[in-house]
Amino acid sequence: MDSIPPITAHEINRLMARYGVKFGIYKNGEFIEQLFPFDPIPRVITAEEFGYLAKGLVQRVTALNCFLGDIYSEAKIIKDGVVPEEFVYISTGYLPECAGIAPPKGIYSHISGIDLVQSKDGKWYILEDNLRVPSGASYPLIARELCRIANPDAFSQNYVTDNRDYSDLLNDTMNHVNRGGLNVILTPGRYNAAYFEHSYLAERTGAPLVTASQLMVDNKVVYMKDYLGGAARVGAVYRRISDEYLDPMTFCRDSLIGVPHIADAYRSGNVAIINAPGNGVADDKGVYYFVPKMIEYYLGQTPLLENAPTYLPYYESDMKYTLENIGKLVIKDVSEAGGYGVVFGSNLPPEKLVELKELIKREPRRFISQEVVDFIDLDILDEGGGLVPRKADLRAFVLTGEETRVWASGLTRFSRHADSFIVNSSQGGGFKDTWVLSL
Amino acid sequence: MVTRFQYQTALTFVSPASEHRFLLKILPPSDGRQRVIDLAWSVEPQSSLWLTHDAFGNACVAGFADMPHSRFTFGISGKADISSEPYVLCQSPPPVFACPSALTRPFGALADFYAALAPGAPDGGEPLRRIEHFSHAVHSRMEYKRGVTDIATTAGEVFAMGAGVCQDYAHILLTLLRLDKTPCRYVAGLASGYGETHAWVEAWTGGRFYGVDPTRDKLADEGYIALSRGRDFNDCSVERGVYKGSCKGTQTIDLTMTASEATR
Repeated sequence: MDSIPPITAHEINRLMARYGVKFGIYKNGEFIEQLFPFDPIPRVITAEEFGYLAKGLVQRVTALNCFLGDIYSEAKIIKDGVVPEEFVYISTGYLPECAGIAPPKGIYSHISGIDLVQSKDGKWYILEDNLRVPSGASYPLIARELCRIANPDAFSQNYVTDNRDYSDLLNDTMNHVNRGGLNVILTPGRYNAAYFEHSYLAERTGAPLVTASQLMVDNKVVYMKDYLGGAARVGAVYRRISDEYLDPMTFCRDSLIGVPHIADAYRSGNVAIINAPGNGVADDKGVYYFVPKMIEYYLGQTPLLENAPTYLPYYESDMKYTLENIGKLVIKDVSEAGGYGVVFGSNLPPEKLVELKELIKREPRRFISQEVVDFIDLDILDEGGGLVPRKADLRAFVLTGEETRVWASGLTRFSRHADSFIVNSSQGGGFKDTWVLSL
Repeated sequence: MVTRFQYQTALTFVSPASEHRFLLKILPPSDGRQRVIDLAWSVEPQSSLWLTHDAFGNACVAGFADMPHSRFTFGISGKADISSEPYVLCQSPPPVFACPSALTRPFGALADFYAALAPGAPDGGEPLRRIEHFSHAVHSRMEYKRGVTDIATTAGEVFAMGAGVCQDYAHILLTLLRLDKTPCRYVAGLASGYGETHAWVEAWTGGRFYGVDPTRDKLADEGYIALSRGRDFNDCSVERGVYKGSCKGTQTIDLTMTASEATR
């Protein structure tokens, strides 16, 4: 690896800027587009290790899909006392508007982004499930493409599993649930954080990239309008807008980026929405605690991949433990995402710790606490071409069509600051390619 | 009692609206308390219309009007036989009716109001008395006033102002009842003597949803026709629409309800 000169890193970052590989963030009401800094040293996962991870991820996503199907129908897991009602019906991710809807083929989470970290002893932990509109697959895809141009030998001499099959996986997933007609990718438009990804995935899959104004619903059927006044039926919508903005007739009434009546078409079984609306109830940080129990409950199996040790102040014993050990725990606000609302007890002065304890006592349902997993550092190239260690996680992409499969690649994100554990791109993190070896 | 009803709303746009998409919850259900005998409905103008229903079982008229129009009207007329018993049977209400919704979150002063009210509320015996107790408290505490609230005003905000209209009264009562662990739902409908659409609450106890009207401090009797039900106003808007055009417009509503026959 030391043979990659720093010029290559700069060159690839320059190419990515040219290709528009960017993401946007809103800061103080202003839209700023940033490059997503790329580090050319890949994370390498052996075939054996990946096989194990894949089994665990498929198991987890299967159970999460069972949970969603159950919650929006009979809610047996609540009746059987495995998950308390309080963690479901008052969750902002739970949408009563979706109760009783059976999505095509019973699939709720078609594309799942599961975040993992590897601790220093080599063990993998699940950090977070993202079942709404997880983004990020396009970054390792295009980075690999550019790296292959920059250094073809690296791929012919190392047994790296080709990751260009992501578009096939995505097409299989869309085709499997398609209710007749086109697959389309619905974007809010170019001011969205992940617009690069929307356009890139459309290009790779051949699915038209559309905004809401190009779609219309007539008598519970979705159509894509063309420039000549014609309309083509749409059977699956891979939507990259969040639930609340999806349909002003059913959800947030002020939404201008949604498609009026699309929820009605979905309810009637005439279109698949990918991922299903209402998935937020299963990737809530509070519900995360219960995922291992879901695996046992629905599948009768022992979880292959563990959660980071987590406590729910909702339970009295966990509240006690959290309050007594707050200085060494990480506290997460369940309603926040993107690395916001995460506080390390060790970083807080005593008076802030007291405030936080009071807040947890007042609103126990709002927080979880976790042991800090001392996860591994991966080397990155610094400005001068030297190697420096940085905290890194892995977002694995799990796609559910006829079967559930894990994409043999993934997004490795790293923190750009030596003392930080936060790797989110919205917080300035960078990314690496993830090589899964084929031998 | 058989009641005739006639209800119409007209929206007038300052500049013509086009690509108008709408969802109307204007079709009264037959539900055991009310039996719809005759029903006619109309929507003008329209390019396409279809009937559908939402997750709460409410019947809806959906559709769109593509051509520019400066006036949009919709209405219903018909006859319904309304029972003198102010309840609807229901074995197990959906769990969300026991949880706070976007417009019925128990904020500070409203939570304090509940805490002060609960100890004095009748307990045991007849649970309906307890529900009426809360309804009466809302009625006494609030002043009926138009124009101070809108469709996005939460129960907490209304309570802080001390004034609002029927939907605000209903939101406060829903908040109190949910704090009191009584499942309850918002009802949008028509009420005699009320010149526009009305809102009240149905509270669940003993296998029945009782209709309670905090605005008038009474049970929902034969003068009430329900149109739709949900967690709060958001689930029960009579009309939702998006269109291209100026956002300014005016709305006029005509409603008449007459008791025509006293027999079933």
